[in-house]
Amino acid sequence: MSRIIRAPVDAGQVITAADLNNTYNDYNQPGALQADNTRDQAFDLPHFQNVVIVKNSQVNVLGNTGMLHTAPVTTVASELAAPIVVHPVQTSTGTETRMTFGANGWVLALGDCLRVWWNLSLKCYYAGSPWNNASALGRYNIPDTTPPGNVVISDGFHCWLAYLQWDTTSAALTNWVAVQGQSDPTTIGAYEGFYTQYLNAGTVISPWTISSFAFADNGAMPAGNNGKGFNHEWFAPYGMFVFAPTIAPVTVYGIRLVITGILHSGHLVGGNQENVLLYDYNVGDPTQYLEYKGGRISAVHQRVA
Amino acid sequence: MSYTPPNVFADGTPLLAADVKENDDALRVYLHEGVVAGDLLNTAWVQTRHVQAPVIDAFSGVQHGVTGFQGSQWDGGALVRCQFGSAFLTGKRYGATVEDNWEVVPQTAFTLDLRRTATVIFHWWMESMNGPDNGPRSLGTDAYMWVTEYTAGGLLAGTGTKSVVPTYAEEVVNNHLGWTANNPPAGPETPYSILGYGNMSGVKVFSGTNKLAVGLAHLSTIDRSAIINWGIALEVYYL
Repeated sequence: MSRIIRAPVDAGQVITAADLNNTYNDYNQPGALQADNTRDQAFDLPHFQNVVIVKNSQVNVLGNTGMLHTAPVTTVASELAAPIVVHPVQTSTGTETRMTFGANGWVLALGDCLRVWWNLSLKCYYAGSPWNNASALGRYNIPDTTPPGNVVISDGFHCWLAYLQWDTTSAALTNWVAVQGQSDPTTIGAYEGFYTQYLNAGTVISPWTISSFAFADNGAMPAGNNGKGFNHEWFAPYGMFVFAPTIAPVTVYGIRLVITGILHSGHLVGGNQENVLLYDYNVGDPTQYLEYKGGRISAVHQRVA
Repeated sequence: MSYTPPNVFADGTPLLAADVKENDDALRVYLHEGVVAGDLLNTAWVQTRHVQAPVIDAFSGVQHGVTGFQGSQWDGGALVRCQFGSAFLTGKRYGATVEDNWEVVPQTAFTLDLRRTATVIFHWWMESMNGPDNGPRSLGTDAYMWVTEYTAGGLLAGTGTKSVVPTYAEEVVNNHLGWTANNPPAGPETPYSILGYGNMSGVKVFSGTNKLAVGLAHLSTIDRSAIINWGIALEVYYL
């Protein structure tokens, strides 16, 4: 409790020298100033000079500068077989456009928070109807009106995937791994892919739109209605990531965005039948690729406790 | 320095006004500029109730307090505010070749009177329906609406010189791609509306000072784009 709680002197009250001395000496005590002295006073901005909320912040261009869909652009090839090599976002000349935080990195202490946002303008290309390729995932047959014929259609669940990696080992930036809660490609049975529970920093990107219109005839599909593909043209996927260390401080030396594909959704046949994204090499081809222009990645390191 | 009263009083001696005033003056100096760390209780004792209460502007949805600003606006609330973009404002039609002529998206801005240099984090998202614009677009040149953030000096949104980084812009294509009324496939199998819908989301992080506006600007080559849902949010940290 405060020791500066002495009542004021009222008119007509008799006081002694000790009363007066004590009034002044109340302030001559280490640690005498504390909460109870503030009463209904208020602390404003000037009182908080030495307290930092935003410890670091940084913004970097992703890819190439400019917004028009003209050269230079950067191309990402679809995966054709294992092993998977994800594509770090870079300029058209191969210079990675990543966030680097210097020799000392950003030290995320307990009570700190890292927030990352990105957006990137891109276009997905395809040729023909790759979703109908033999053994393509999500491809299935519906009986047509001329048995035993079938109409081949796709569930349309193919996607590219963009996600964040970081290096928490050194400023050399040679140990890029997926950020916490996000995985890099892993083996899932006979496939490579991602468990969807580890896609905390991932954004799926639709490579095409498939439209099909046909009136069913006694449960059968008129022949030839196996879908028409549309290119999305240019659009701008975006993503974010939040991380707060819970055990020990984490030093982040760099963050980068990577792109990979083409994947298709699925689920495990046993166990908990977990949802997954699987590389579909059946649609992978040089004619199926992704092209991006430019974008932005922003990061804020702030204290939240 | 800690406070030491210049005069100590004793019973039975005259109490001089000058001595009391000298003690008071010394105390005034101490309380204004003499308090050092050792005089303060060595544990955290400032509580939320001791901090200057923020000023809340209910109309703009923003509050300004000790550590900065925070708030948001969206298309709903008391009024539903569908917004728009148009090539007729930005002066471009089909196949833009320049990255200027940005125009504000109405009402999607905050004005700030910063008391000192601050870190500003401006969030936004929108869903738009673009076109159909049945112009020479069908000749093969894509039409898009780009949206990104702008900042401008001064307190009136859109009145200062807008600062835009075109590389940060995001886009949605006109919904007329590939559709021609007299050249099948068309009709219900390939409706003109199969494209042209898009969502965007962005975050602008920057250091600001003094008075400024931060909001959304568009550059469109489509005759009309309806921004049917949108939201903007603001975080500003002085510290």
